[in-house]
Amino acid sequence: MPVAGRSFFLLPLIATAEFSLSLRREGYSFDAYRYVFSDPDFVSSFGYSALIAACTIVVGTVLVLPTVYLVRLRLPWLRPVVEFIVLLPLIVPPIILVFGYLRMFSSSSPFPLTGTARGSDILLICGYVTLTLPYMYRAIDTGLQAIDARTLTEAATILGARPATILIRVILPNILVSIMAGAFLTFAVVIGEFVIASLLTRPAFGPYIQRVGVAKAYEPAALAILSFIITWIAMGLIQLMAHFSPNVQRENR
Amino acid sequence: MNLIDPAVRAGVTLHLSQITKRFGRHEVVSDLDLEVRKGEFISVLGPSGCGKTTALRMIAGFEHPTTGRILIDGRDVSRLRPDQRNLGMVFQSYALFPNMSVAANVGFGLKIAAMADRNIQRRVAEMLELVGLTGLERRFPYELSGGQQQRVALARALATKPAMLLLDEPLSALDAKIRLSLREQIRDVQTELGITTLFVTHDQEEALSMSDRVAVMNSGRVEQFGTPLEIYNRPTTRFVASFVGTLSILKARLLDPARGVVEVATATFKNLEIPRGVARGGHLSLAVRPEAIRFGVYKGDVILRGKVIGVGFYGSVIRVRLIVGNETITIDTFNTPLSSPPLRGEDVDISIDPKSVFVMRAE
Amino acid sequence: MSRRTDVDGPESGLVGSGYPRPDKLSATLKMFAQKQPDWSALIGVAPFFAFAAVMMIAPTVALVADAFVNRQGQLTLKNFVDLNTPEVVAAFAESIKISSASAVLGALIGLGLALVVGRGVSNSRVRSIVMTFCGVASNFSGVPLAFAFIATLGRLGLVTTALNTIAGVDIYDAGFDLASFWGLTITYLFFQIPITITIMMPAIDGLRREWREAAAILGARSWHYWRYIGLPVLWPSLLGTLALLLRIPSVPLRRPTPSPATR
Repeated sequence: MPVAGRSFFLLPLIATAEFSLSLRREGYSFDAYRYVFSDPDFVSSFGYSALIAACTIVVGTVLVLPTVYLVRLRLPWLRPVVEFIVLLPLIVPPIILVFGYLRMFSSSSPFPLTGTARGSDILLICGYVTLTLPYMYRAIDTGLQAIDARTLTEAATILGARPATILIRVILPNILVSIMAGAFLTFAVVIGEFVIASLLTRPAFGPYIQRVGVAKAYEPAALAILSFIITWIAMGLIQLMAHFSPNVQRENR
Repeated sequence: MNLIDPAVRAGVTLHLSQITKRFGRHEVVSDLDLEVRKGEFISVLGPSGCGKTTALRMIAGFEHPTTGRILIDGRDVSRLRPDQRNLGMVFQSYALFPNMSVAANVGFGLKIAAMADRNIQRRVAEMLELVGLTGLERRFPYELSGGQQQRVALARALATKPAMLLLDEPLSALDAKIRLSLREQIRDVQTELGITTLFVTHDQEEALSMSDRVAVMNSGRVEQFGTPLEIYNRPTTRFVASFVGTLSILKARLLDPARGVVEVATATFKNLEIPRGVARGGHLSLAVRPEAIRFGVYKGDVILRGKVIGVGFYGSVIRVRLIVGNETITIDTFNTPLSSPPLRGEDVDISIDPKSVFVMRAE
Repeated sequence: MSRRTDVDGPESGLVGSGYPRPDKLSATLKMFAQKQPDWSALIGVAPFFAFAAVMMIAPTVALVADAFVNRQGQLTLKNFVDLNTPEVVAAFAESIKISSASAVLGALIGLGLALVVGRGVSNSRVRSIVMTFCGVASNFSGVPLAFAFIATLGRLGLVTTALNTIAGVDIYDAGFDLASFWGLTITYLFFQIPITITIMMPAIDGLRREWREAAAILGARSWHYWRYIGLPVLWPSLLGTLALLLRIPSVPLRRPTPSPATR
């Protein structure tokens, strides 16, 4: 990459890192990080968001995997419809989604989900499943394309397996790597998300960062670096998974 | 092999002179000399990695030779860009432009050459008729079968009236049946237009059946350059003999170098041509084509006895494998209503005509 | 199974690439006309469609419908008319200006960089680092991003002070402001460019070497290739990327945040 590009992307990170280390007047220190880690809100909000991310990944997989699989194999005519639905979250901004939820599931509605904490959690997970649908779908679809799901299914059917068994015992293990890729991406998105979580008033990591950002000076810089590192780890894990993938298909050039 | 004859010079379209290509330390093409006469259909045949595709890409201008010169119609093009060489090329993967209709694909080269639209249309129609795709002008590549795509690619390559046509394994990606019919169609079009053509393939059947002459390449060198008949019947190197066609190789011992007497299993061959430098009692290999062996006992032939271990049915031909001593011999026999092929496990007599045997040094 | 189902072209990331495929739509229509739907398979995909209907489509429709209804439940456009105050209009205009500028710039620069990386970097290690970085940076938004740029180009940011001490240039005196049009655009570019690279890379990898070679041997120069083949093939993906980038990003640069100014 050209030098200009490199410095555009590296300078803000260097500057933030430098700033996050300069809490003490006399020199660099990790004090800002120490304060962040010792803040109980940091631990609880990060834990909450991680839990929500895990739920999102499970719900997303359960929703997307059978659909992609069936559409690929038995309902190819539905494919354009599914592809369109999956692109919707990229077009509809989260803020519209969440205001829609607040209206549909308000305490005066037949499903007053926003009235309770548990209900709001469910809404939050649903919102995140929607938000990350494009990533999850693309990851699983690519995975299914790579393993020749049709032949595997036919082979398993001849051996007497039922459709649900095939999906769980044959297809799922073979595309676990793709699902993981989608999962890490989902994790990264959920951890940093702010709009939905704050409008549903959930104690998530995104709103926490926002709060700290308004109230403090050095800690937000430390948080920025931390969130960058967390995402980096998630992405690095995707790369690592892809590397160990048993069926890496490369276009012959 | 020096084929450069000044009298033919005038009619030479392509002349490769001492071409060498190295990628790093690896020499892919070594001292390649080749002359292709105007209107000839030449195949470059060889296993994958023999340098044939690199040679073609150097002619096209996608690679540059490390040393040596490339002349097209007497003009040195070695340092020209591909777009300056006026060539036509068909790729293994069709390489049709996916965003363009059939007509736009075929007319692309003419458009680049700034030809008037009306003339482009006329030429496109002409080309599509030539390859038998009239009426598909407005289709897109993804709406065509592989065979159709490759015919469009052929039409596109020919539309600009190139000095020469380069075909890079154009049939490898196609089904067997389409491959056969397209093979004939390519040759027909080539004959009709009289365009000099270089065809790169690893399929010996394609090379032998389509070409005026075949250059057999192995590890960067041309092993033999000759007509299909010469290549098949009189291979000059061991590689050519074994790469082109099927061969049964028998271990043999030289009994009498002067009179060409050689012992194989239980039989002796006489009057064979012995390679120089093999002493009496030395080891040799005898190579025989499957169609040069007959079942039964024929006078004047050398008779061997063997056990049938496999019978394969190929329509008009039946291929029988048998064990003679410690070696496997392959025999092709015509499938006629009168004859019945031998059965597995049967002991049979076979006759080999000594004149059809190649004698080679033992490995 | 006579219909071709597995012959989709190279998939290009999030935004489905490709050229017009009339057969796809007509296949959908044909299916509705056919008699025997695959019921068990339809039941299998029902949860997905139910979720999409309840959690994606219904809330959006409900909210959009709300916008056209007044407190008495009558249809009206008054809600929009009420928005027509100078402040709201100015805010919208500024927002749209910034998001379109950063989207277009992000798409163009991103495409350029993606081409440089996709065609120039053959080392798979370097490539994978670049792609990972793009994945990270495209998720870098909100407060962390705002802080990163305040620490860089803010009034006392690293680059600002460096330029001042080394070159003697005070960019704030020269009229620069991080909360201005250009400041925000530059900030947005930090994730717009990586998003573009991430999405465009598969499409660029889908450009086959043979197309270029076939064009060259037909007499095309490099710019002919890009004009007639390269860019038209990338165009659908690029448009998709642009649509994605146009979503107004929220980076709270304008908020009165304690900044490095307190240092």
